[in-house]
Amino acid sequence: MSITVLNPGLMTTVQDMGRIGYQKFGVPVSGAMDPRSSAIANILAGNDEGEAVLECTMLGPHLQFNEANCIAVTGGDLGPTLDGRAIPSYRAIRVEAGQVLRFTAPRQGCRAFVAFSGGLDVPLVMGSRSTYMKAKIGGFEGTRFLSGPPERS
Amino acid sequence: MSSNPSPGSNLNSAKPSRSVLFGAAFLMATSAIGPGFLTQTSTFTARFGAPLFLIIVLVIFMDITAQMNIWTVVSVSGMRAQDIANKLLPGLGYVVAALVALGGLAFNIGNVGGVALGFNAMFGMPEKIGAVVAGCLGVIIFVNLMDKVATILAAIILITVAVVAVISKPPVGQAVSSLAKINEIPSMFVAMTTLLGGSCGGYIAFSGAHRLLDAGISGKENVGHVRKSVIQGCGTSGLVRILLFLAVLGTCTVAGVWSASVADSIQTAGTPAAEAFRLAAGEFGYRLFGLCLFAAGISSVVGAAYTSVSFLKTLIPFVAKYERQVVVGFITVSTLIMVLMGGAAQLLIIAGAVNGLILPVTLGARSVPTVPRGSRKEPVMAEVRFLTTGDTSLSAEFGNEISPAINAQIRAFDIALSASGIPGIVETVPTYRSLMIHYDPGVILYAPLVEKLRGLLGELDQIQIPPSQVLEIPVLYGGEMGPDLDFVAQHHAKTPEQVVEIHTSTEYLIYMLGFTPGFTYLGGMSDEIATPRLKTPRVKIPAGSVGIAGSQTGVYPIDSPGGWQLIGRTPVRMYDPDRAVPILPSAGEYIKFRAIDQEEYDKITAEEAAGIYICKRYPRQEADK
Repeated sequence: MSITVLNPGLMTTVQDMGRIGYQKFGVPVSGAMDPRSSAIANILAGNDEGEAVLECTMLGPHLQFNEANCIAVTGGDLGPTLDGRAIPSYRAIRVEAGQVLRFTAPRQGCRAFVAFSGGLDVPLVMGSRSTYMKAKIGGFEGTRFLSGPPERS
Repeated sequence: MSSNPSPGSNLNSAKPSRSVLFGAAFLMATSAIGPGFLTQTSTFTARFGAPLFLIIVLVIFMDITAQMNIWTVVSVSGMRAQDIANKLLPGLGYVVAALVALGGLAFNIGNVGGVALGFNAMFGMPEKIGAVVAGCLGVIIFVNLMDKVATILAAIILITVAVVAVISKPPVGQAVSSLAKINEIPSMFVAMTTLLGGSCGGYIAFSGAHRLLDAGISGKENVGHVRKSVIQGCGTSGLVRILLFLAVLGTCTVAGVWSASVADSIQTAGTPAAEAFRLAAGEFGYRLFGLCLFAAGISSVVGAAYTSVSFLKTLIPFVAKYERQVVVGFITVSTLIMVLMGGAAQLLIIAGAVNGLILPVTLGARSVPTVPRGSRKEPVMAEVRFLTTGDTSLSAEFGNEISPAINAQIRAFDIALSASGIPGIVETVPTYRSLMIHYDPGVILYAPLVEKLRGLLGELDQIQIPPSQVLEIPVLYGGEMGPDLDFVAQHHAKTPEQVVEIHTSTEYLIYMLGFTPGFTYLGGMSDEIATPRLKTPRVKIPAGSVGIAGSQTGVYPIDSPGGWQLIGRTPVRMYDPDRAVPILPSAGEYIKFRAIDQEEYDKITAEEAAGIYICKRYPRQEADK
């Protein structure tokens, strides 16, 4: 399946549990700001806890699903909606092809995590899919979501 | 044999041999008990009488304290005094070594003379022949049986002095009761400092400490043995001092009353100890004195020569290579000077004077390295501070300065930790002066982890630390690749070639990595090419650029903005996230730059692009200092 990013949001990056073992070489760990929420999102979506998720900051992205899937949103309450209807956080949610996930406005907390059943298909760099923007590695092309590139999961 | 391991890299865990430990103790003791020791003790006893006993006892305690400090510092650090001094203040070690060697030579001439006097007293042998025999004996003892003979000579000295002490029937009660008379100390202050100098001044304390190092006894695990040796050595010289004191005291006490005339005749005699022995036991006493002086002198001949050379050998490679020959030469030269100049008694006085002059200087110089190091060096591992840095990491802080020695300890600890099998360690990050340890608190909690880490610090000496690697980085200097090379050269009134020459002549220690992936914090660049940063930083500096900023040098591993003076560029990829080993350099290694031409630059660039370039790495030759 793939997703289409309609609106990148303020600061949306791919993160997992981080790039561990390279700090001695000057490479920070990166990874989800809130590993617990990230892990719960993955568990709800039927993934391994350490699977890559989307970390959304303050203003979340608008994502269109190109195929049916199961997702979960955890962490801060950034006002997630599916086709305009509010959806609960910390629940596994079934999404159909064509449906759009939007975050309306931050209500509580700063960061929300979106897990997709099956994970995110971005390459492992030094053992992790986490985005490290300064060195332009990991995640989607080494940076935050900028426009609307297709993203598969 | 004369390897000079860095702290924490000592691998001696075998139980040290008893003969070496005894030998070191008695080498020190008999180095202390030379002709000067006998003279000073006799003279002061005759001058002050029973009250001197208090001073003698105090000096023994001070001697043990001072020597305990010196021996422990030397043996735990695995470094000789001159190396410790050099580490503290570059060049200081050479000064100390020169003073000690010079003092040792002056002293040794006196020692040879002392042995000659001893022969003369025993057999009436002419002085010059006695000196030659003394020199030959010294060489034979040094070459063959140093440790055993030092023990035997110490026994001879003890027995001879003890015999006279018994014969002279000293008023022991008077001496012991003087211990309470603390108010008399100030009047005998000169005696105290002189006697202390004679017990542990100059090279004396180092004779035993360096002997243990040469025999491979060092490191924390041997501290117990080393301390026992100190007590033995200081106890021996102290016992001899007390016995000699009693002998002279008994001689000066006629029918229970202090005899000023006897005391006076001892003080004014050419050799006070000989006079005391003679007055106590007649002709037999004089012969005994000869035997005692012979034993004291010959052991000091060996001790002074050996120790003086031990000061020179880590500083001068030639001496290290031909150590035995140099010691033999040292004894030979002292003997020749003695024979050519003659007059043992006068030379003893001259030697004493020279030594008196040198002692304060070396003691003053040495108090700088030994006193602070003593409190800092010995428990260096115990002083590591553990700081909490969040709920999943802690920082082990090894010091508060940027130094290769501290960095080497961090590297050793890191290597030991990774080999230790302590559970729950996630990753470690070495920095200039600490090691950050990330752990999983679900596996191990803070307190038990710190306990395990402390245990590991205690065992650090037993863990084999592989030699540091040198990473050779080829650099195309100047031109388009190094636009600031000419500026750096002009800044120092040098040619660009000279700058390159200086820049490529050093092995730079990689203290740590940080800032960006693969960015090395290097140490050791020559001040001759240190250059301020650019006034206006560049917006983009290409990866591989080699720069200088202040006294720092380094390679930009990725494109980034920066204000360094760019003097060249390497075609080597310091960092490549898609490579099996993404980052080339690691902390604790060294980088050596090698100048290359455009052709080689292009070749390496092509090989890097094809993923087949292998950067040259080799073990560092010299032991880390």
